[in-house]
Amino acid sequence: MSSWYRLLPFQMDRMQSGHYLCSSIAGDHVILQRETLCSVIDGTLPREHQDAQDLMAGLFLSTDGGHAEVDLLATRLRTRLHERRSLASLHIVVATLRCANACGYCQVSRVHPEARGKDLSDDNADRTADLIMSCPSSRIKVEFQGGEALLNMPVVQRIVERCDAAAAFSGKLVSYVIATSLSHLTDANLDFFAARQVHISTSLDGPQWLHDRNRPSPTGSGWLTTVAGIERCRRRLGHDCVSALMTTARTSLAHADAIVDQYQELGFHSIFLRWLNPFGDAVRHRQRLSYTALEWLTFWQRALDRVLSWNDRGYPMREEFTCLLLRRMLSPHPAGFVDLDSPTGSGTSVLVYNYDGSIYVSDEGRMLAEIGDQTFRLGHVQTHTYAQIMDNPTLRNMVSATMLETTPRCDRCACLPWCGVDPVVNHATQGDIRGCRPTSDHCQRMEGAFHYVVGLLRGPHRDLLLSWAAG
Amino acid sequence: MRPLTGRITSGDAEPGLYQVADADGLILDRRDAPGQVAIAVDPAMRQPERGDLVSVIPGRMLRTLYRSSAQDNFLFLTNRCQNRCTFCSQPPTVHADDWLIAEVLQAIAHLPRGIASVGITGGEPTLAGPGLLAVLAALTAHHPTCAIHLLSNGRNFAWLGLAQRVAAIGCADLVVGVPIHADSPPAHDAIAGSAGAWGETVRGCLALARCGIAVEIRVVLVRDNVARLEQLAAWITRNMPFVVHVAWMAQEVTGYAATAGDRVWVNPESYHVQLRRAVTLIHRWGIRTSIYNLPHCWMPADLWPWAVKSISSWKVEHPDACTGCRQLAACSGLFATGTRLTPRPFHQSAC
Repeated sequence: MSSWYRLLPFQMDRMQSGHYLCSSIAGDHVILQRETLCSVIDGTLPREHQDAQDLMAGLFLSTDGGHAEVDLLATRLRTRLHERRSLASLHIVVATLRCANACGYCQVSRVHPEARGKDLSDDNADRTADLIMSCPSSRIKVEFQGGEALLNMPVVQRIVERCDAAAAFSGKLVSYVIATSLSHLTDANLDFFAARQVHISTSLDGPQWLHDRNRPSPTGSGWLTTVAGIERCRRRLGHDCVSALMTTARTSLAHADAIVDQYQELGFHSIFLRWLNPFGDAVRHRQRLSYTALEWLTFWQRALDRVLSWNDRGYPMREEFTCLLLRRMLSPHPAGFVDLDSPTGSGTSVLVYNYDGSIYVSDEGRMLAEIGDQTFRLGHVQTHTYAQIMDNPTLRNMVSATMLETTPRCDRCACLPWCGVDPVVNHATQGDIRGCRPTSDHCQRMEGAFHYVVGLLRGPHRDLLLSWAAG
Repeated sequence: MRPLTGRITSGDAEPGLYQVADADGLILDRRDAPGQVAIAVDPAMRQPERGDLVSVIPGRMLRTLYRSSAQDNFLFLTNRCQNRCTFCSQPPTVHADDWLIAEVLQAIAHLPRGIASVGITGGEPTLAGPGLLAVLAALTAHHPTCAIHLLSNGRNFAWLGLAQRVAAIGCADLVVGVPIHADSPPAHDAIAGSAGAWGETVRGCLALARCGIAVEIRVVLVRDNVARLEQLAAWITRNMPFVVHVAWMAQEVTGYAATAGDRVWVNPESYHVQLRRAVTLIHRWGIRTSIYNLPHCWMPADLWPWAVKSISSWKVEHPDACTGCRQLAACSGLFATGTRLTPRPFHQSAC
């Protein structure tokens, strides 16, 4: 008997509940019972079946003789890949490697504040600004990192002024972010940030005792300094001009609620729950600091539930990692996040300029360089043009190795259309940019996270999550 | 006798008697009445106004092509259509009506200079084929800044060549308004009354987008699609993020909709929840969205910001019961041509 539909390609995963998560190659998803899935595949699904409408709308089944569904799938796939070509839109500049804090998990291998030769020079700073402005992107974001970026403010100012001057001619839109612990913040700094609309991104791990334990500071409590700094920034620059990031240390795992509550208490409406990447000191202190992907997932779920409960109590708050997952699941657009890009955005949408003028594919790439691995070095600001950087064989190799559709195991995972992969992390943890999925922490973390969000979308917070997805 | 196209140049010196001039300002000449065309208009009908564009056969026929006082004028290209939508307020015919194109081309020459916008409708305007291209080209040549709103079921644009030829005309501001009634082929086709409609309409939208032509989606709210408005909205944001506007349109109960009765009609109160979800979803994704043809008294107040005074000036009615309603100025009013809604005015004493 011929069926009333044709099957279109899709992937499936069995979920813990025993139901099946199915995703089309465009990224729409449905959850089916085993019997339904079997009848879908057998071609015996009745027209009147309660899941039939969703399966047609989700482009799992084709019933149109002209194959409009296939055209839609092709257009969706093209949209996803086309927008990945937002070339060189994020430029990370390492102003200095010096930093006074002695964070146990420091991923960048900071050096002592009095150390020499770890600052970006004026000459390299000018060439960096010129290179940034020579990139094809019309919207450019420049992020200053460290070490402690505030310890080399003259170079930060120099680059902002040079980029702004170039932007005035080219019409490009340039925005600035500075990542800082706020420990050396002066009023002059604030005046500059206000004048040039520089956004502040600081680190806040949670309650005072936890933050200070993770991030020992020579001046006593780093937490007090940061919190006071946040207040100053808000008063001078506006409430939304400062955001905070948390890094999960082993100690943090048991304190999800306290961490979220701390953000709420400080008036933040957003929190980004981040795991620790295996770079820098985080590798050296692995025994003391590290945790498994499952342990992080449990922590994240608990913290996310806490964020949701604040919303229930009338305090609007978003979890940024969840927002990225939702954006990937529910929109045709990419998330612009290194762990959710396929092919990779490292080196193509992100470039990193180190304190010595070397250019790397990503922040993680320069972190590896600090522990002696120069695999992801693309060149130097004094010798390389943008075209030469893009023609780098390592970079080309990275892009072709990170198409998940061609990666074993990923090619049939239900999370395929939403997921991404960071070749630098693969290289660091598995010795190969393509990586091996069954032993990958990334894979376990992402699959667990996507499955959890799929479940939440069927729960009482559906409307709230839909509002997060749209950004 | 062929109809003449011209503009009403003088008012009714005598009741029911008008003068018509052609594009060059000459008084249309007739051997039986040198210097003028006298048209007699039935006093019971709407009387033409100075500046209106009309097609006349003296003593026999008068059709208004353009109303100078109306904001929303449409050029009517054909009465034929491939769809047989269950809610159609203006059922299509099957006979050839190519003469309409000549009339429209004449009308374009008469349209006022600097006209802001004009609609093109049918029937299905793309069935006029070369006629549609000629009309778009004439509009662009005579009125280069005029915004054009083309209402089409989109099916013929599945031929990429048609979309490309329309794009090549280079209209300054062209939007094609296309109806998508459901997020799956069987549901849409049942409402459109034509198998294969969904597929061609979807492919038509993709072709238009590919050619850089702006697409608007128009969803008519009927009994068989209101249960899945949120899903349809999600489908639009994912599959057609390029659309410039999504309109949710309550029915005009005339034509097929009147004869189909309860097979089409749905009480607006039954879809408030779905409509709210759909509008919110589209809005969140940054796509403009509106609710058409639904009076304020038939939707919850939180949807009012999306409600548009969408009913054409010659079709709209504010019944006596609406007098004194606090929402009267913002309200779409009701279809004079046919509705099942009765006004429920908000008086001072009401909440």
